[in-house]
Amino acid sequence: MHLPLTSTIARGAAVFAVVAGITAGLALPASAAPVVTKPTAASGAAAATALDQIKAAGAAAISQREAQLTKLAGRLSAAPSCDADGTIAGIIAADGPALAGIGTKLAADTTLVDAKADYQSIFDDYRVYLVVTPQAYAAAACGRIDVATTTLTADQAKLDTRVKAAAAGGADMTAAEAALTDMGTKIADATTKGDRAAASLAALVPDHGDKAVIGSNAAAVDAAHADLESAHADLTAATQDARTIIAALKAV
Amino acid sequence: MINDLVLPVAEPTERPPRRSWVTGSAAIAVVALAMALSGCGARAAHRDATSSTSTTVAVTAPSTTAATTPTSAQPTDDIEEDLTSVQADLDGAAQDLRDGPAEATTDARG
Repeated sequence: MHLPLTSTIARGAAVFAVVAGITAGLALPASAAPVVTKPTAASGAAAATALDQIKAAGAAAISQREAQLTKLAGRLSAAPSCDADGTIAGIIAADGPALAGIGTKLAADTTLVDAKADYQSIFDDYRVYLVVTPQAYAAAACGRIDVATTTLTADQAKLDTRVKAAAAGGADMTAAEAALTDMGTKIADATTKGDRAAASLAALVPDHGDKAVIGSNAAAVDAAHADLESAHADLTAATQDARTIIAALKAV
Repeated sequence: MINDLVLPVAEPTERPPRRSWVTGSAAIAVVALAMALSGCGARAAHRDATSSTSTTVAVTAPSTTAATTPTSAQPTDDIEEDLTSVQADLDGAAQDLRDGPAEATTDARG
């Protein structure tokens, strides 16, 4: 979807050049800028064409994002997530109608200035891909990590009881006891990192084009992602510990 | 010398045949009873009757089994089912962690 849009913009560069002062944000060639100062009948037609192209590109971008938001909502609702308070789901639910509203406004725009502002707000005000997408996926992953952590915590308690019973019966459960200890450590670590990831994700906000916020959001998502990757590794190890313990119990 | 040694053994009145049979039967009965009481008569029947080591193993084995039976009966099916579920959650999380960054780059404008 992105490449055709880029191509369209590139093809329209010459058209935009006639109103370069307005459309400079759409990556015009610098050499085209001086043409602006002499509007003609031909340049008026070109501006109208540029307006249509912006509207079309905006409609396509909005449609693409609405589909993405629907996908993200489905992903979040498919399993328990770290979005317990519904913040991310609320953003997703609100962004769709808001983008549709921008589409309506953009379609009614009669000037390139208004069209450009509306077009740019599709990206800057919502960040469906840059912010909401990683936020939603990380929240979904965080939820799965949380569920797995809860299950393994309960299983560790059950295994602890059974290992102690086996040891009381005279069985050598040294290896199983070591695995139990490691399992507890891994689960505790995963819990810490999962909680931290959830907190990072909850702090994300739309950047509205603010470079500092863009940077802080990206850092928060990266940090959450790293924590979740680590928690995932911890729980994978804890699962292996549990299998080791089960094998020891079966061997008694 | 040879006659002196053989004669007492050959004397039928000094070693009644019946006494020897009774002694052997009593020994067999004792062994059979021990096997029956130990619960391992069937296993012991397949062992070499002349080996005292085999008899000892047959008698001591049940005590070991009796001590470990309660432990080996501990079920783990419920935990194994949990682990299957946990693995599914971990697989899903891994997929989410891959898809998020991948889809975030769909459109660099945001």
